[in-house]
Amino acid sequence: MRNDSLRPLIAVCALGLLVRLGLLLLTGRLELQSDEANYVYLALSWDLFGFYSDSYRYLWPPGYPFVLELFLSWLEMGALFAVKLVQVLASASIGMSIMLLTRRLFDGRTALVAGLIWCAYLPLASFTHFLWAETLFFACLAPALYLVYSVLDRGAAQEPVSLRLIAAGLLMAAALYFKEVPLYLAPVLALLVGLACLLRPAADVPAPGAVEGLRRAALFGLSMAVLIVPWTFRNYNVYGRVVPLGKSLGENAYIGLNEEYKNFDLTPFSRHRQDVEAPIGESRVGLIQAPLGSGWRRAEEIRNTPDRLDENVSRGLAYAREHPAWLLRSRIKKLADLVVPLSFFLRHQGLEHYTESALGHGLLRRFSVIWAVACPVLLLLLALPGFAALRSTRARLYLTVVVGYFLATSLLVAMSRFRLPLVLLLIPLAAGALCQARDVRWRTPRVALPVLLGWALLGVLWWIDWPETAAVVRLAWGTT
Amino acid sequence: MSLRRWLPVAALLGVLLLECAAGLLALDSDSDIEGWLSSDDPEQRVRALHLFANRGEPERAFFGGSFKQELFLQNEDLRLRLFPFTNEVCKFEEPIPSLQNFWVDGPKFRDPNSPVWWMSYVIYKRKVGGAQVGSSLRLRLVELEWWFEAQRAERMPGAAIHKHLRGLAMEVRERRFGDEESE
Repeated sequence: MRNDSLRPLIAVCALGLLVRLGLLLLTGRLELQSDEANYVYLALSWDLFGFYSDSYRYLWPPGYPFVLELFLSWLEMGALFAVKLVQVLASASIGMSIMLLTRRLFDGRTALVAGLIWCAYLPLASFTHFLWAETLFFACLAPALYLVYSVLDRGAAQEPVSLRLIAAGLLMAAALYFKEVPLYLAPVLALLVGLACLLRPAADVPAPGAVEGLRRAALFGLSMAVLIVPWTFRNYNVYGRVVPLGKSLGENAYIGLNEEYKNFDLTPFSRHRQDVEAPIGESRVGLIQAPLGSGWRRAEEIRNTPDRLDENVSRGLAYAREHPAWLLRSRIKKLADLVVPLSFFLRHQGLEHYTESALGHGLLRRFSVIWAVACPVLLLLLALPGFAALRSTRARLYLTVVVGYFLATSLLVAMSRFRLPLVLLLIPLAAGALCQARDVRWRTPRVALPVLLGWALLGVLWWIDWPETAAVVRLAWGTT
Repeated sequence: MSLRRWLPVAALLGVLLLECAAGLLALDSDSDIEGWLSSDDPEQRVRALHLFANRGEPERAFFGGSFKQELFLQNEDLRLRLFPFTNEVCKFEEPIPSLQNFWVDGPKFRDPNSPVWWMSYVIYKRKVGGAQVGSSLRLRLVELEWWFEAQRAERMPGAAIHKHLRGLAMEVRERRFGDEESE
């Protein structure tokens, strides 16, 4: 196979779309769940009043409610299926970006394997039939991350760098319209792009230099800014405060830096499965227990939403400062909640949301549950040796920065859904482990030790979350 | 290094400056908004209310009972009538929006056959924001279907709506439904 041929990648991508389309058709009409209903509400209200209403606890970026509003005003009830269909099609961007990134990190064969993993990765694929913003967010974020790496990669010296950086900036900004979580990743990436110009792309090629670094960083940053600034002005006009796109940190501080432990892989069971013991009650209390009565309330007395959210952040940080031991213990739990082999697909199975579909019954249910658990387990286990198989220092640095960023954000509020941005990078690594392992000198302690330590850490984190994981899997399996 | 390589940067900077200029020019001044609050154009008025309720630290007293009554009871325009049920107004109420509660749940106003009642119910009870602003449960598919029926100003299936809401009320009593949080 030629290393630069796109045909095999497109074929794998088409397979991934078929899998997702099949899932969508199989699931049929699903009741609105959690934030799905919130997004639909915001879209209805936008359609009725002609503006994006205040959502009080969050300032969600407008992208997803806008897409829903567009379709709901046009197709009414048919909009829900239409948006899911759009998500299926948009997921092609995710699959292609993962494969192209893998091809740059390793080679064409590994890229195909990465594509196949993407096709079959049920916890990610299932989001195409949910009305959460994730699929459209990743459809913009994944190509942005690929394009930034393609510029950092030493092979990019001869390629049209400017266009790539402009496209990367625009896509990153488009991603921010769906979820603002990578807002602070963007300047870090711009810095990386700039600093990379101080390094020689190859031994016989001079470094592009600081001025070129500045130019590249500016291209990326300005491309982002031209898309972000209009909504920032909108926010300033409405709230009188400078808020680029959205602000959810305040509510996340309330959830993540407070007395009561919350994990949205588990919380809905307490509400919707009264017939069983709530899985959240199974959690090892030692890690999550905060001093009784120490919790804080949201700053409801502040009417201006951005100000209220800022005050919530301050209260959360004050709480963290007052309880350092709890902070440390509970962050270990957050890390465990991030790598736990749960998913919203399993949550749906456990909550019996698929009962009107073949997916909710019999062998298909059992197989899908096993597969949904196996996907993150295998991916996380394989990603570690995949990292060791990376040949380029730039690749290692880039993946460390991006993975580290999303890990850090998840230390505030963790659940399987927040692991999904990492999955975009873990899939190439897992494919690397499968295809490149023979070329790695595993007997060298410098290579083997970090992998073994990583596996041991994963084992500990899985053990921490074992009681609630087992409870959710039992409910998803359908025996309880 | 050739200056031509900086052209894309200059172009982007130019676009950004234009956007900033346009953004600054398009900002609505406080005095404009205050003027539009009493406008005869419902669209202009509802937009002014949205800005007035959210900008800075808004005046709570403005959103009192007479303001809400004027909007809900004395207006033909649907957007103005439903505005008191939004977060924009409900966030000023403590401990909960009692007048809006009365309009959607009080025996005098509760009318499952009325499209306007159903829309006010959805805007009020299914909003994002939690119990503090009057929200109870999340929107369901069947409720969305009725929303579209109401938008077409059709006669609503009152008996079905009544049964549905009664069922939900029982669910709430039986289950550990608390304040449904966004994820």
